[in-house]
Amino acid sequence: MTESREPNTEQQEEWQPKIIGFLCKWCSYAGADLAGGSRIPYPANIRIIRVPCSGRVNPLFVLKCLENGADGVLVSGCHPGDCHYSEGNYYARRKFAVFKKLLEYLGVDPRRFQVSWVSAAEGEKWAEIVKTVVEEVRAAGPNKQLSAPVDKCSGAPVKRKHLKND
Amino acid sequence: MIKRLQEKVGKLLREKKVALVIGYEMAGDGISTTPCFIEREDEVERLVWNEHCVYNLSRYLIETRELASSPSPKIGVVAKGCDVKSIIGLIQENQIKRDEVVIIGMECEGQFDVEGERQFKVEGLKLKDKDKDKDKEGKLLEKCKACEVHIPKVYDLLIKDDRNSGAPEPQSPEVNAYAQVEELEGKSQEERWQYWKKEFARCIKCYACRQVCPLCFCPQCIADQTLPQWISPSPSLKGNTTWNIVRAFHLAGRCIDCGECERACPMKIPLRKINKKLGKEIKEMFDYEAGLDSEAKPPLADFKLEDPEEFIR
Amino acid sequence: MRIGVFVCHCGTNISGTVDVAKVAEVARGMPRVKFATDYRYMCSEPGQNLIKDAVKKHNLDKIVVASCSPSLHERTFRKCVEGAGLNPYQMEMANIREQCSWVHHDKKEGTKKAIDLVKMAVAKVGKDVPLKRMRIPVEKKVLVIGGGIAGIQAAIDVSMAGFKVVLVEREPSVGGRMARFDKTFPTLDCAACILTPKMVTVAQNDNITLYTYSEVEEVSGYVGNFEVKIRKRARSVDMDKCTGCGICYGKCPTKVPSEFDMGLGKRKAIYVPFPQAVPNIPVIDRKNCIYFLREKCKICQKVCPPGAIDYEQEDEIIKEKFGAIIVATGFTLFDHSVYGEYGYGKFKDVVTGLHFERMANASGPTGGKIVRPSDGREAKDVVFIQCVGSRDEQKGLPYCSRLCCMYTAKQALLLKEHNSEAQAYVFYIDIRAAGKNYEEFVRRVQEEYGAVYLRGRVSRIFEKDDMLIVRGADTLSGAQIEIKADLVVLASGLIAQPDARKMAQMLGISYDKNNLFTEAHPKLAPVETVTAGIFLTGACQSPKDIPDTVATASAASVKAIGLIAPDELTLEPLVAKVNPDICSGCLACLQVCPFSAIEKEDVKDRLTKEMKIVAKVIESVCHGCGACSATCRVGAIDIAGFRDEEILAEVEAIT
Repeated sequence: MTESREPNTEQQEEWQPKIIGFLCKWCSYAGADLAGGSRIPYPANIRIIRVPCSGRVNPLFVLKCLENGADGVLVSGCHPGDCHYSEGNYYARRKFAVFKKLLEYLGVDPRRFQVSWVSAAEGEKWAEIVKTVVEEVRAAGPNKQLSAPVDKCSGAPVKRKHLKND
Repeated sequence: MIKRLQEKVGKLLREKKVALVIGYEMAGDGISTTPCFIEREDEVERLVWNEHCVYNLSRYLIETRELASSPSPKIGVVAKGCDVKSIIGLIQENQIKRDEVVIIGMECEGQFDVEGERQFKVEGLKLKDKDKDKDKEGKLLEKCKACEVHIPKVYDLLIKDDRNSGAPEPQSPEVNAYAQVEELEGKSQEERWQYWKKEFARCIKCYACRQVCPLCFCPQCIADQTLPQWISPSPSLKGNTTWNIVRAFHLAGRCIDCGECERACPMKIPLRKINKKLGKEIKEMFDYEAGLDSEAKPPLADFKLEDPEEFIR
Repeated sequence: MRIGVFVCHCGTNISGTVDVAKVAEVARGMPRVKFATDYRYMCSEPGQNLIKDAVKKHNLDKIVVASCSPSLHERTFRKCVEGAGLNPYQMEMANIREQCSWVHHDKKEGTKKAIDLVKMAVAKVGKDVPLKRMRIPVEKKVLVIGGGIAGIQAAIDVSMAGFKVVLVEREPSVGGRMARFDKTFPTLDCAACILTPKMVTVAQNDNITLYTYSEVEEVSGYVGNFEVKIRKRARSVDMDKCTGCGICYGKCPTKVPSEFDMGLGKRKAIYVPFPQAVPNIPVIDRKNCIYFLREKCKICQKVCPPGAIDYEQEDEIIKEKFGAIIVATGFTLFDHSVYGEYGYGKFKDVVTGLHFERMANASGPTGGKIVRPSDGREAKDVVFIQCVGSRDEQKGLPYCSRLCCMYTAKQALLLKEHNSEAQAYVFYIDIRAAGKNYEEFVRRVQEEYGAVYLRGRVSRIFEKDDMLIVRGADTLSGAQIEIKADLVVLASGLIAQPDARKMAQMLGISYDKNNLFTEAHPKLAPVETVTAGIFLTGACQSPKDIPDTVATASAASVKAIGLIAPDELTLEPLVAKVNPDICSGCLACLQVCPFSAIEKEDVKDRLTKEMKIVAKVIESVCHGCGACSATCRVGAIDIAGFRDEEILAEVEAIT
C-alpha cells in the first residue's frame, strides 16, 4: 500500500482536522443548538449530521466517514435513561462499545472515533466536547489509516469528486 | 464410528425421517474429505468420518432448505460440537427451524490441518508415515486445541468415538483460547495497525470468507449493494480494510469460531484472530457467548442498564 | 432534478459571521442546484413568498433552506414548500445559525463551514424521496397525572369542552399543596374556599373519572393512542359502600404524625388527610394499622355502619387508552438540612413555610395559632428567611423559586393578623414581587403590618435558653443583627418531585438538570413537550404560583383538546420501511424496536418463489427512531427522511 498523501486538495492551507458528528435530534442536536443560543464558541471543525437517535447510527456510517477522509467521528446521543425512544441509546452503547474495541484492536487511532452523551440542557458540555475532540484529533494528525484514497492498481489518487458528479 | 454413522443415516433415510443427509465423503486426494449429500439409503457407504472432516456443514442447511419437503420435511446433518453452535445460531436467527433438522452429533477429538496433510501427499509421503512422525497435538487445528465441545451440546443422534466408549468425555487441555489475541493486544496501536495493514493488503475481495461462513446468510450482502455503496468494489486497500471490518462487525456476538473463513481465505488472512477478539470482548462486556442458546437475544439486539460505557464522554 | 437554495441572513444573526452572499454564490455551482439566493428573513412572509415564487419561476422541485435550526423552523419551511406545490419532505435545512454563525466568530471559518453545511443539505435533498403523511384515529380521552390545583383545573377545562378525562392522584385526596395553604396572596382568599368547589367539581363531573390513591405505572403507545396502566392502590375501604361518616377514624386507636399537617398534628391509621378531602372516603395506612401489623384490632370494621372496611382489598390495575396526557405532578420543598447556619434541620422551632401555613390554618393542627412546635407556646417574634435553597449554586438550587418572596410577605401579614403583638422580621436578598398587585402587597406588609425587612443573609441560628438566636447582617445599614426569636420560618425553595426523573422516563419527555420537565419551546411552546401528545402544567415544569399554575393548566387543556378534537390525527411519515427482497428474516430489528412496531411476516420470495420470514413495520406505531435500521446487517430496513443513502450522501458531500 502506498501511504496516502494529504487527503484534501487544498494542500497549501494549514491542515485542519475534519470531524463529522452524528447527533440525535432530541438531546445532542438540541444541546448543540443551545450552545448556539447561548453563544458558546467552539472550533468550526465539526460538521453535524442530524439523526433521529444515536441508535440510528450504523457503525458503518462511522467507517464510511473515516474511509472517505474524515479525521474524526463523534457520535452523540442522550444520556442513559433520557432517550426519546427510551432505549435507542442503550443499543447504540452496545454497538459502539464493540465497534470501538474492534477498531482499537485493528490499530485504528482511538481518538478518531468518539462517543458522548450530551443532553438538550448541556450546551456548555457540547462546546467542551467539540473542543476536546478537535484537540485530540489534531494531535492525532491527518487520517491516513482508513482513508487511503490511492488506487492500488494505478497508484494514482482516486478522483472521487469526478465519480460523484453523475 | 463410520459404520455406526452409516447405519444410523441409512435408518433415517429408510424410515423417511429425513429427506437428505449432509455429511462428509473422501475427497479425490485420498486424504481430505469433501461435503456430500446422501438422499438414498444405498449411498450411505460414501459417508466417512475422520480427522479431516474440518468443514462446517451447517451452511448447507440453508441452501438445501427447498429439498426438504419430500419425502420428509427434515434434513439430517453430520455435525461436530463446534458446528452445532452455528446450527443453534441459525435457529436463533430464524434461518432454520429446530424441528426441521436432525442433528447427527459426532464425538470429535479435534480436526487436523488439511493443508499440512496435503503437502505431505504432494511430496510423495504416505499418511501413515506422517502419523508416526508427528504427535497428534502438533497436527491439530488451532481452534481444536482449546475445544470445549468434543461432544455436541445439542443433537438428535450421537455417534460416540469407539476408542472412548465408556471412558469419560475427553478433557480439553489447558490451552488459552485467546493466546493469539492477547499477544496482539499487547502490542502498540501502531504495531497492530501495521500488522493488519499488511494482512488486509493481501485481501483480493473474493468473499470466500463470506461464502463459507455459516452465519453469512443475508440474501444480498451489503458488499454487493450499490445504493448505497458500502464497500468499494475496486481492489484498493481502502475497500479491503472496510470489508474486513464490516465482516468482523457483522459477526460480532454471532461468530461461533468454526474458523471456516480463515480456512477458506486464499490469502490466509488470519480472520479468526479478529472474530475471536470480538467474541472475547462480548463475553467480557455482556457475558454472552454465541451458539449456546437458540432462545437468547443476540447481544447486539439487547442491552443492560449497567452495560459498560467508560468509553463515552 | 432542480434544487433551489435559500440562504437566510436572520437579520445580522447569520450575516454577521457568515458571508451569506458568498454561500449563495457557491451554492449556485453545486450539482443540480439551479437557483440560489440570500434574503434578510427567510421565515418572514416575504421570505417565504420568495421561495414560492422561485419554485414557480425556476421550476424547482427540491429546496434547501440555510437558516436556523430545523427544530425551530423545519415545520415552517415544510409548509412553505408544500404551499408552493412541492412535497414537504423534499426540503432540507442547513443549520447555519445555531451550529455555525452563533458559535464561530471568524467570518472566513464561518462562511467555509456554512458552505459545507449547505453542501450536505443539497446532497441530502438530492436523495430525498416524496413522503406522504399518515392518518390515524384518535382516542378522545385525556389523562391528567396529578390532582393538585394544576391537575384539577386541567381536568375541569377538558371536561367542559365535552371530553372525557381521567384524573390520577397518588394521595388519598385531590387538592395537592394548595389544600394545605391558609390564605393566598395577594388577595388573601382562603385557599380552601377557592379550591374546595373545584375539588368537588372533579368528583361530581360526569366527564371526569377520578382515581385517588392511584399511580400511573406504565405508559406506552403514541400521540392520540397512549396506552396507560394505572395502579389503583388498595384503600381497604369499599368506596361504593362508605358514606364518609368518619366513625372509623374516630375510633381507630393508632395515631401517627399527619403528612398533610407536616407532622405538626396526628392522624389515625385509617384516615382522611383533611376534613374537606375529595373523595371523603378514608384509607387504611397498612404500614401503621394494627390489623395489618399484628392481625388484631379490626375496630374500624366493627364500627363501620355500612360495612365498608375491606382488609382483603387488593391493588387494582386499570388499563385505559388516551389521546393526550397532561402532566401536573407538582413540586416538593427543598430540604434545608444541608445548611449548617440554619441548624441542619435539627431545631424544632425552625420550620418551613408549609409548616407555617398549617399552623395559620383554622382547621389545622394548632387551630390557627402560630406556635412553637417545641413547646406549643404562641410565637411572638418570628424571623422569616428567604431564598432557602434558591439562588444558591453551591448547596442549593441555581434558580429563583419565584414565589417565596410573596408567600413570606403573606405569612408576615398572617402572623400579625393572628397575633397583634407579634413581630415579623424578614431576611431577604432581593424582593421579587413581579405580578399583578404583588409589589403593592409587599409594601403593605411592611408599612401597615410593620414587618421589618432586613436585606442580608443569616449567618447562624443557635438555641439559647429556650429561644432561637438569629444572627445575620443588614447589608443596607452595615450592622450586625441578632434577633431573639420564638420561631424561624424558612422560605424553602421549590424543587422537582423526588421521582420526577422516573416519571419523565416513563413518559418519554425530557427534563433539565434540576429534574424539572422541559417544555418544547421556552417561549412558543411552553406547555408542550417534545413528545407529541404530552403536555405540562404547574410546578413540575418550573416553580409557579397559583395564578400561573391555573393559567398553564388551561393552556395545556386547550392543547390537549385541540389534539383530540379531530377524528383523525396526521402523523409524520418519518418511519421505518422494510425491503422484503433483501430482508434475511433474522428479526434483530424486532428485538431492538422499543415500540413493538415490527412484526414477523411470511412472504413469498420474489426470486425463489419460496415462503420466507421477513420483518414488517406497523407504521402507525413506529416512531422512526432507527434502532432497527442500524441493527440490520443487510440494510433491509431504512428510515424515511433519514435513509442510509441520504446520510451517506451528507458524509460524501464533505469528505
